[in-house]
Amino acid sequence: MMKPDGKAWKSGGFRCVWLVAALMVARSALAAEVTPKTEPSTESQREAAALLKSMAEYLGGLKSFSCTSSNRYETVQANGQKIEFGETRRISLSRPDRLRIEEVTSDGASDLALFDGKQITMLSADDNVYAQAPQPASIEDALVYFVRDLRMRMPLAMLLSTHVRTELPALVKEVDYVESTKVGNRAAHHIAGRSDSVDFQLWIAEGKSPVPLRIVITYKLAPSQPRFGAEISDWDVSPRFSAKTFQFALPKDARKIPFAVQLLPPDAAQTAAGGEVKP
Amino acid sequence: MNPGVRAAMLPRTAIPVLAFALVMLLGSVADAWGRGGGGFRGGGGGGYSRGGAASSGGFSRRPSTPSQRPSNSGGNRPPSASQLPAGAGGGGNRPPSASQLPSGPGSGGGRPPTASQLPSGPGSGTGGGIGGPGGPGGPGGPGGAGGVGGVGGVGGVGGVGGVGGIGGARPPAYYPPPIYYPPPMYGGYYGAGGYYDDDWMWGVAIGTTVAVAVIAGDDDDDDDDVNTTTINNNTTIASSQGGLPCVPVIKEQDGMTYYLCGQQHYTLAYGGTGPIYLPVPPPAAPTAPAAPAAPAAPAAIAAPAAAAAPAAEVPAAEVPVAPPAPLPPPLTP
Repeated sequence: MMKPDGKAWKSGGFRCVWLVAALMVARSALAAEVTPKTEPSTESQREAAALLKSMAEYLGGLKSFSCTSSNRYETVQANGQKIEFGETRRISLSRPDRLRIEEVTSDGASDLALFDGKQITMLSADDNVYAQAPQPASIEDALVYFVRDLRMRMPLAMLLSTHVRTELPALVKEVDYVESTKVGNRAAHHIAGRSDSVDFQLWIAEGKSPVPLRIVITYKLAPSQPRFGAEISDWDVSPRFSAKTFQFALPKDARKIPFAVQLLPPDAAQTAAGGEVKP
Repeated sequence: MNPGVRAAMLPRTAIPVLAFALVMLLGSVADAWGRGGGGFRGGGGGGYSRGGAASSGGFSRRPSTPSQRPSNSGGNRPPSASQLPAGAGGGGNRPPSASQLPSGPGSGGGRPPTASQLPSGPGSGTGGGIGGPGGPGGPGGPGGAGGVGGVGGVGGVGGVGGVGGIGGARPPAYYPPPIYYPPPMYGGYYGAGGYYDDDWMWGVAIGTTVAVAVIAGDDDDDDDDVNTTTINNNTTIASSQGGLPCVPVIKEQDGMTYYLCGQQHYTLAYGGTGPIYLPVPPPAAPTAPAAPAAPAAPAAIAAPAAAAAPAAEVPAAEVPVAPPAPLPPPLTP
């Protein structure tokens, strides 16, 4: 390698110093963004953390359940105005590998997401088209595949996964108890927490079945900080599903279409995942 | 005013002031309790205030009224492709490319142009670039099959959506982001040890933006029913195809259905929020059976035929489109 002359070396050296300094500043800034987890220091914080953990343990330990989630979410328009949309999702889950979600969106469209143990099927009843992909063995892996690789939307996906027991408490940096209240007719604990990227509130049913009854998430890093909310009702933690619940009944004349991710250019498909998917 | 009356009014005006001062004082005390640790259950313990702008219950907090939803004949469908933001402001020769469509939360265009407001004329066919600000929309006017943009190509991902043109007489149309919602968080990733990140927590597909035309009844007055007229054994013209910026020519080729608007091919695929029309490169021209050694028809003769049949708008030299890519391999335990 050619040795640079003194002038060039000086110039290059300064550049190098500046580069190192910039990198250090950037590293510090990045490190500062990740808030270290705060250990509960008050009684209400400890109580909230325990409630969160009990909910996660309970949900993750269920063999099967069904519930109805009425979601609403704000979308920020170009003019800054936030507009709310929503959907109602009827969720039927049977571990280890079955999931059925019937969805009616706020504009009346009906969709179905079905994990039958072998295939993931998405059906648009209104358009009578469907897409299918092989299903990973467990609901947990299937959900990741569904969201990460197929780029499909699955609000509150973690609540459907057994990983909720470890990952939800680990995500939360701060949590505190707000009040004892009611959601509908059910007594509930209202807790509020923060992660690095969202603030959330949870209403957890009091009693032996600490299921989430309501959740509100504020995307504090997103422009205009839109919110997502869900009311989760009709909980049945020991449902009796028929065999047909998790079978895909192909509608007459339904047409199979690919997932959109299959049509993305390869480079776009890779970068679309944010370029941040770690191996 | 009668001084006596004025004197009698003074205490009335003083009451709210005193009440406000009392509330402020109590608020300070409560705040101090909150900071002191703990707080009280049922009393806003933990320092949570019941106040704030969002708690007012005022008009601004209400969800959108029906008149603010996309206006379409069905009244229950998402906005159409023609309602998506226009890109390449002022260019007038390029339809919105992938990179010009909304790329994330809050990036969607405002009042998008209708089909009749889209730029017309042959497209330049360039690949997707960074979307420029949208050109001003044309006059609203009654709907109709406006000019169709040229080939935009499948653009890159994640560009900033162009700002929609200024609407005409039509009511505003709002739309959810095309692919995902809730919005993605920033910097999220899936770790190797259990997909540990907020995106996963909240079930969000990470920053995927695809140029799409959402299946929809558009806000034109035409209906959504597709009545087709057979042109030949694999090409039809639809009288209307909701969601596309035109009345498309429908082609079946290699097991795929293509919708042709001008020179732009679309195909239907399942996106994050439902079926969507994706702009795709044109399919490879079907291989014709080997013909006897006949001289090629002069272009001057072929041209009228091309003009007569919309299907013949497909350029002769086309970039072959690959069949759908294989799905990403499912995770292995």
